[in-house]
Amino acid sequence: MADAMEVDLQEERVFKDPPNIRRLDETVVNRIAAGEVIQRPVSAVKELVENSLDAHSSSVNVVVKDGGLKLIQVTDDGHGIRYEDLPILCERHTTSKLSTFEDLQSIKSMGFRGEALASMTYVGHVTVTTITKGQLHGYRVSYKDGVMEHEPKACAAVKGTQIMVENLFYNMSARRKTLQNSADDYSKIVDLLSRFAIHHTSVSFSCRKHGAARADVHSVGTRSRVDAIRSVYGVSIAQNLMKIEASDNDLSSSVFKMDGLISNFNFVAKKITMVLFINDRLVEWTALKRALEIVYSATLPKASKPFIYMSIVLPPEHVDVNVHPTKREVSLLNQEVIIEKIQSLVESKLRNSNDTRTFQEQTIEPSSSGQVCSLKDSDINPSPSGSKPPKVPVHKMVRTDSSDPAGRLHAYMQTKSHSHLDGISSLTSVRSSIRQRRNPKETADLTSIQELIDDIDGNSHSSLLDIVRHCTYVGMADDVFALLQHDTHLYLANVVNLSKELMYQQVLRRFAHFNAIELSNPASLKELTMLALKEENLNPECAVNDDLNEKIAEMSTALLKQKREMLEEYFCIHIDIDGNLTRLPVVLDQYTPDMDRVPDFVLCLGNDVDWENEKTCFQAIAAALGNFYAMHPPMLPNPTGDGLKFYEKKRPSENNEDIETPSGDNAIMTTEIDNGLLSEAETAWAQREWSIQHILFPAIKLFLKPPASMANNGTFVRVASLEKLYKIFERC
Amino acid sequence: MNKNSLKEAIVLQQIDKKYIPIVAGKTLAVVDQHAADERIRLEELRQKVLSGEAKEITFLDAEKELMLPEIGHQLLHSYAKEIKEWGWICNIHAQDSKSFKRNLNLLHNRPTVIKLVAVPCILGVNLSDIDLTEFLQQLADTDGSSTIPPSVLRVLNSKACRGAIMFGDALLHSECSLIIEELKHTSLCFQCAHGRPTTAPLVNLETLHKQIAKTTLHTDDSNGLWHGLRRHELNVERAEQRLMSASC
Repeated sequence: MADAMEVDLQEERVFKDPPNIRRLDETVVNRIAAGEVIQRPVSAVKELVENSLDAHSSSVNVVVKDGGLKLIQVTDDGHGIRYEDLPILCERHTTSKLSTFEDLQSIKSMGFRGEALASMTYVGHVTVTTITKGQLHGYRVSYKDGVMEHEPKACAAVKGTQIMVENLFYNMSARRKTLQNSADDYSKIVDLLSRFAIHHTSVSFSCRKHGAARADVHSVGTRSRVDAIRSVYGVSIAQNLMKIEASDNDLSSSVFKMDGLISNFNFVAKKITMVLFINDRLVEWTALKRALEIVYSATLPKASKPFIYMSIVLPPEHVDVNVHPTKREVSLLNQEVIIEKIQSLVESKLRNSNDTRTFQEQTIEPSSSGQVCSLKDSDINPSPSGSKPPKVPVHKMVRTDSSDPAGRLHAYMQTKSHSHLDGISSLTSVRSSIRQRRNPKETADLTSIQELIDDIDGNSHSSLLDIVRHCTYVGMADDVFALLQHDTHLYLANVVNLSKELMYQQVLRRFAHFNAIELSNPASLKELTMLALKEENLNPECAVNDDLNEKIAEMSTALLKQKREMLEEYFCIHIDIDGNLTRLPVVLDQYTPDMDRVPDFVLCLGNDVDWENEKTCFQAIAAALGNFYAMHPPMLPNPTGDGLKFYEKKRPSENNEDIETPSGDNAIMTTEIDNGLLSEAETAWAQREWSIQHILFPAIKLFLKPPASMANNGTFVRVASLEKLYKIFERC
Repeated sequence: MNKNSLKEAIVLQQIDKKYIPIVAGKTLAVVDQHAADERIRLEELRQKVLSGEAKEITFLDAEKELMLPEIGHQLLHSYAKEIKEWGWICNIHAQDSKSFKRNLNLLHNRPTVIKLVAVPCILGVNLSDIDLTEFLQQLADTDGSSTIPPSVLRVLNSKACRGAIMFGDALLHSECSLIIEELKHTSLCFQCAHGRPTTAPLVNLETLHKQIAKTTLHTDDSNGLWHGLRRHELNVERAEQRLMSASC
């Protein structure tokens, strides 16, 4: 049965007469052509807007109803249409833009076929209102199937032309139905206008739905393309663009000029946006688009969907504009060469433009400097990678440190110029200080000291204590912050605050049991106080103050001389009978304080310590010692980075060395780098860093009881957690 | 954050066997040791492959028949140069388009038989016929622009990743510094081979200092008193009085 039918069909095919060829009716021809030129509402909008641009408009407004099926209205302020031209305006193949075929080779206007308006009249109702310059009134006329429906009526009009297309595709039910179902025609129109808006920056565009108050595209004529992109496409695109330019003038290969804006790798989008204008014509060029897409995905895998705006200008004779019914494509001479050139340019641009990368500012909640440790932290198991240092028994810790000969020498070296130690701390003295540590009660035979120590213990912040006990030192982030790791968190800790507190606590714990640092050159208290006073009031009228300063210094020295027995007995601060400072206590083994801070310490003792009340007196002396022994940044600026300038420009005079500051007024200006001073500074900073790592932090781990105030005064700042970092970096 | 600030970065010690903290300019940042090394290796390898050093050709033991649609055959012809450059060698029967056999094949609607003789060997990995088809497709899409075949990129990326320093590798400080030093010289130093970041800034130290100064200013009501100690006004009267009270 089936076979029989097949045979039938074949027979029919073979034996039937060929059909007659008839000439089509002109309206049929026109409607077919119209259906091809005006494929969707967006093509009508494109044609009308291009007409407006060809009419040198400076503003183009589009209103759309029902995705363009009910109404498309394009209003411009261009040169208008002559009254005499109105009768043939909408006939096929009538245009003002072209007269001979050869003109097509050098065409500058966007239209040339004279088909767009005609096509619209075959598939919709077109009404034109126009006025030309110098006329008193405008004309309005409606068209159908290429001809006027009535004589042009005089009417009021503003400069330019307004064209309304109503009921598009009223006579093509299949197309009308498919378009009615698709919701994206309006967004296509918006997209189209956006593209025009960023290319023709001098023209202001607007596009809105009929009856809507707000325009969906709104651009005002600006001179900067980036501004136009910002107002049309948004800030996130505009701030991530890079300028790109290319030109070639080699007649044998290609002649073109390209400039554009392409997104960098901070830009992330779901799909590629490519706005391409060739000789001011909005076109698609799939091969170029694809080529750029490949470049992006090969170089910037994360930003593989770029935003690209490009304007390519070629000699008109190299462009064939008449290859596509809606002019969506053009064909060019030497396409491959141009693609290749642009592609390699974009690639090198992407490779080299990577030097800036903007990161989203990490927000540190202000509270995080406060509640450095929430309760849940204790639930988290310490990271399995063993970041935690094994707990070292107290005595072993000390032994490790003192068996590090290099470190020891290092620690002593810095004091050589100022002082030398009263015999290298022998095992005996170390032993005694360890014993003391074991039985802290032994130390505190005075109730006031005991009270102060109890204060420290009672005020200790438990989670901070956990941090300092188990942290790992990573390094110095700047002059005062050290980076620490504790469990899965990273902290910045203020070394100055920490060491100050540690020294204070150590003074109280070692109270009356200090070993001594002998100063090689006893320093006069009076001179020290004078130095400190000078530094204290740096105002220029120092000369007037000098006498007063001397008086103050004398009295303060007398005061300290009276207290020398007590200072000697409890704090190992030895002042000889002539008022010279000869000995200082060892607060932390292996560590000698920065002698540049002696003057300030002496002034502090003389001026600020309250000697009346036993408890406050001890506390204040301990605090003064803490401040003195703390690991402040050295007086000489850090020679790395910006600090280096200090050594290039200013050369402080020799006599001022002890107290010089960056603003030292005795500085002699020389331009070359002061190498001596520089190396001095370098050693000072290196030694400080060494001491922080090898002396301060081991000691902090063992002894420091961090007070609660440290939790919210910026001493500890949590900067990151490793879990979060893990997420930021993702995994390959 | 930019490349220049990376140039003067100070390298701290490794954290958690995973990250390298650096201070670049005024910013504290951490570098993912794996991602960073991957980027370094990728650019090294890419250079090697492009210069032809790590690019070889492997002849197949047995010729492999390529099944291509007619359009693919044409592409093979038009992009023969590019394909050969990368190392795919095809033995095209009926190379001469006028040959009788080819016309016969066309006539019989039979796909042309192409024998693949050799494939590129990138860094020791042999590419396949499928990779060739993919490359052809890319050439067709882009009018034959001379980009690296996607398969080669894949090999580069995976090789870069495989050989790189891994998470959990313990590094000495000097080794960390070396990585950062090399990273400075890469052209896309802030992303790894797969586009993930190599560097994450943690905190700008300058702003942190300012912020702390601001918060402490608000909370600090002890007027500079620290363990009962603060700087008192300096004048003669006070010094006198203190001396007096101490004497009696």
